[in-house]
Amino acid sequence: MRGDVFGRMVKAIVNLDPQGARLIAQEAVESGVPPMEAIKAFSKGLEIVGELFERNEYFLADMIMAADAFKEAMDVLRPHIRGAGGGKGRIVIGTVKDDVHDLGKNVVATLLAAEGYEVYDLGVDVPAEKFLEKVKEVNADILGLSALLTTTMERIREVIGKLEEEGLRGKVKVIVGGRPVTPEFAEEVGADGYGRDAIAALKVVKELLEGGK
Amino acid sequence: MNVLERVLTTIRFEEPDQVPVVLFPEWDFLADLYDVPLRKLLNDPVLQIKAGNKMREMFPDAFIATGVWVPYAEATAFGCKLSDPEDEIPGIMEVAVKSVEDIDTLEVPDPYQDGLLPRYLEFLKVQKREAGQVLGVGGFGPVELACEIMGFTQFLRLISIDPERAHRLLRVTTETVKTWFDTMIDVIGGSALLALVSDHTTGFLRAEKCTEFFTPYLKEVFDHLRGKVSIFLYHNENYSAHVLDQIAEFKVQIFHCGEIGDLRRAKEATYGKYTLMGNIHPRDVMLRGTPEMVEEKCKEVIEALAPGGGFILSVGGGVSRKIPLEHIEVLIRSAEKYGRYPITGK
Repeated sequence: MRGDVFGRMVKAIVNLDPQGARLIAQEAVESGVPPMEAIKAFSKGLEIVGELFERNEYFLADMIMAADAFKEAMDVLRPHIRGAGGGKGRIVIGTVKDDVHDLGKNVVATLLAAEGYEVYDLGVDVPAEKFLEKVKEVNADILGLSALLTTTMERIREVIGKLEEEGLRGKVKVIVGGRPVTPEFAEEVGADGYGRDAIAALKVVKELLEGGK
Repeated sequence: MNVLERVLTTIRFEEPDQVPVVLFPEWDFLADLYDVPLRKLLNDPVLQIKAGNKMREMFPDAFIATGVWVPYAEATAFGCKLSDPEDEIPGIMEVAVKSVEDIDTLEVPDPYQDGLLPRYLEFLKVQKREAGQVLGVGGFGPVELACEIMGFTQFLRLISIDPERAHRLLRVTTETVKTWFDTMIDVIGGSALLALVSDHTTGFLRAEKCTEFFTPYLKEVFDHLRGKVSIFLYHNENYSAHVLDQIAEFKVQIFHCGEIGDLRRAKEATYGKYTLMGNIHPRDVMLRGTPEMVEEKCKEVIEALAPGGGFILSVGGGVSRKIPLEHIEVLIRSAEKYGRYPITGK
């Protein structure tokens, strides 16, 4: 019986069904399924979606719906997780100055929030100073920087430089992503992590916060 | 043969003397080339024309496809607000469609009244006056325009949660694109050698979604313009390997492409239907590569796509800022070196 519930959880994500995901999560809570087990099943769905995306069978529109479905389920489950809403980590995220693209960044922010991180999405066209201000204000664990243009990706370097100048670099991990950004570029600018897509970004955050400290 | 003759020959799937080269400079590239701040260039049609001419003088063996441009004019006609950076391409800061209900009252803008469209028409008039004639017009396709005026995330979500409204929005944007191209063509004299429609949304949608939300609308635009335009060019450097067959339905002569998957498979799927133009990677090869890498990639693409004609060598997208001039030169010389017909391929 429970196996069936878990199977339907996976399916709700893979079928990109936010409403279905919420209903199954509610059903799971009501029937006493341990929330962490449910999260594992929903996460498995997300993993499959990530694989389908890698194989060009799913596209960004599908990722958006998968992230929405995952978020719906997490909204139901989170209040039932002991100790939830606190120590998972604080993440400041945004698209760098002069760049107003937000598609990938939005999916990353949704997934991170759904996973229970405290996400502060600063939006697009964010100046370095604003990133620094927010990082200080919320004592962020991770700063996520996105750029979609070859010209604006250099702003990532500027933000990291400013973190160093302000003595904040050692206090916050920096992850980077966006269409023109490559692992080589991430390494070159001294980022701590690179996410090729939203699922990869989520993995990197988990590694940095849960495995890397 | 000059480069235009080469293009006209290859799009008939005949072999010219060599593979033609067509380049689309981005406006930030032209600003640097002409040594003016980008904002200044974008506000001055005469400067835009002069910057384009400078690139033509520097690279006479390539067709340099550029004219005049007003950023996101179509989106501003719906009420979108743009950023105004000093030296970057502006972007959309505030979308026009803020809720799904807004779609129900959305109307096709008036090109002579709304947003920056009248300004764009003025730029075209200046181009006509300065250059004597305007060879082509260009603009966004209906699906990309829908994404621009609603926000990409919101529109891509809408097609799943409220497909009927997504279609309603696409009806408005399709009519807008048709009206806009009609108006531009009227202003330049009633017909155009070339019309470029740019729509990158295939990269966000799987094939079956494209069948419903992409292909019919693009096809409608091209069908509408047939008779006024000699050469249609569909531009999209985003991933499109999954919809090469659908693009054939547009009946365009040229697809300016980027990510098309396996090159030989793409050639098989498209030969006789439309000419592929591309697809040297603007970032990984043109910007970050070496001259040797540019040459190697050009050779590889020519060998796979050029046999029998139906191929134009280009960057898979625009020539963007900081791409070394030397790399552009290498690309052009590679077409001469490896692109002399007959080409048997490998």
